[in-house]
Formats: sequence, C-alpha cells, structure tokens
Amino acid sequence: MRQTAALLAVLGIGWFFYANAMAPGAGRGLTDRRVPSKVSMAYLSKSVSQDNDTVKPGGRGYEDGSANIVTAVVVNYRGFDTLGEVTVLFTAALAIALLLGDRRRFTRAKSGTILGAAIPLVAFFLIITGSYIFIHGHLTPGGGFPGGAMIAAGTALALLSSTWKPSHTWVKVLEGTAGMLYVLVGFWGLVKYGSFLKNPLATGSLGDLLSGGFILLIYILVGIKVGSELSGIVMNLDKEAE
Amino acid sequence: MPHLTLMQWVYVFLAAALVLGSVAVVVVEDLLSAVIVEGVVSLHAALIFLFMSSADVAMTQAVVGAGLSTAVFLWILSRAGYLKWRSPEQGKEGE
Repeated sequence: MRQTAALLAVLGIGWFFYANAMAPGAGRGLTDRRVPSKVSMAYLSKSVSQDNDTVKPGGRGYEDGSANIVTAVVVNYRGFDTLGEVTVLFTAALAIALLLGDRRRFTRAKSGTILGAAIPLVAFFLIITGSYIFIHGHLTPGGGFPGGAMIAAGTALALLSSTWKPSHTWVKVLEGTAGMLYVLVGFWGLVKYGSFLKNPLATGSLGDLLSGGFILLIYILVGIKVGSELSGIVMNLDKEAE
Repeated sequence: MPHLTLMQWVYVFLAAALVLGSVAVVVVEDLLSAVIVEGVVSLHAALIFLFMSSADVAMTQAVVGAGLSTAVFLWILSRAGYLKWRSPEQGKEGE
C-alpha cells in the first residue's frame, strides 16, 4: 500500500515535470507564462554603456560581462556585502570550533558494508558537482556558497562512511588562504582603480568560461573557503558522544 | 471552487504544505520528527523559489536548508545524546 502510494507520487511528480518541460515556450515551462516579462527582460538586457545597446551572448566590452545577473550584483557591484557574508560565516564556524573543538578523541561506530561501499561514489559526485557550480557561478545559477555547501555535504557523507579522514590542519590552511586571497583581490582593485573590490580584469566575451573579470577568481576562492569552513564545522560535529 | 491554472494549484499546494509543515515543526513532540519535517519544509520552499524562476536562491535553499542544516541538526541531536544509535551488531534489542 505504502509502496503503491510512493510510486503514484513519483509518477505524478515526473509527469508534472515532463509536461512542463515539453510545454510550448520550453525553458520557461516551469514559470507562470501569463506574467508579462517584457519589461523586466528589457531592463535585464539593457547595456549600461553610453550607446544604449542590448546585452547579447558573445558580445564584448560590457561593464560586468557575467551571464548570470545575480552573480554580477552579488560579487561585482555588491562585492563588499559578500565579503561581509564570508566574515559572518567565518565567525559562526569559529564559535562552533570554540564550543565543540575539543581535542579529546571519540570513537564512532563502524559503518555498515552498504554505507561504506556506496558513500565514496556519491560523495565524489557531490564534490565534483559542487566544484562545477562554483566555477561556473558567473554563467549558470549558483555560486560559491551553494557549491561550497555541496562540497561540505560530500565531506559529511565521507565522514559517515569512515573511509576517508580529511585532515583538520589542511582544512584550516585552505580556509585561511582563500579568505586572505579574497581580501588581496579586493586590494588589487584598490591599487589599480582606487576602489576596493573593483574588477581589475578584462571582462571578456559574454558566456565564455573566462569572462566576467574577477568573478571567476572570487567565486573559486569563496567556494574553497565556504567548502572548507562548513567541512570544518561538520568535522567538529562528527565526534560521537560516549 | 476558484478557477485556477495547474501552476496556480501547484502554488496553492506548496504554500499549504509550507504552512502546515511550519506549524508541525513547532507542535510535534519528537525532536527527530521536527528536524525531518523542517527539511521537508525547506525542500518545498526551494521548489517555490524554483517555480518563481529564482534558481540561485532555490539552489542555496535546497543545499543549505534541506541538506546541510538537517544533517547538522541530526548531528547535534546525536551529540546531545538524544538519538540512540545502534550498530548493526547490537541487533534490535531495546525496541
């Protein structure tokens, strides 16, 4: 009975996704097509340069040059807020390390065969997907924060399977180096243009991997920092209380 | 019965699930059930964000809200001694 209900639910959700993906106007199938989107599209694709051009994939010489407009705002125009966000996360990780980071060793129960065999595969794909998400942060949805959290989820799974023990020291070294480099990139803009966290690199052609100037660089750093930070939190928690 | 499109019915269903789930998180006695329901509520919120075509927020909500925070809550419950984990060798005694 329960399996039948689960199967029906899965089939229903699958039909829903299929029907919407195949609906006319594909790609927008999941959103409400009755909402007029011409005004917002016009604003989104309007170039900020003098000639009032529209932004097109493959175009060159845009002010920001990132295909994902959310990333353009978060990393470029409001980069200082992102630095603050990283600092907030760092403070939270520090507090958890203060509370839970005792040096006593705890033993944990050995994981079963299925868990131990299946988890390395899943964790590997989680870490690869997380890296993809933060490397392509300026092209596709996502960025340093979800990518890093996905990597931390992979670490958590790896810890559960007790097949892989990441080193606490290396996690701390990665986190500190990435955070420091982020601030250094900010100073690069300060030295070159007299403004902290201003884009010091060429923006390239819209839609390429090497476009959007320093967004790629910063999101890789943020991804490494958030990933190692959340992994550190998870590793602090992974000590079984006796 | 108001005349709604399929998409609007889906929104209604998701919103109702969000409200009911949020109430259930507070009301439910068992902490483990509360954590699981909280994860499900986060997943519904992620779906709503996705349907409103804010894929960035949906992704963050799914990864952090539904995935990592649920895992961290479970870990904290286990550290506080709330969950009694049994290894497979110990069998099913004490149930």
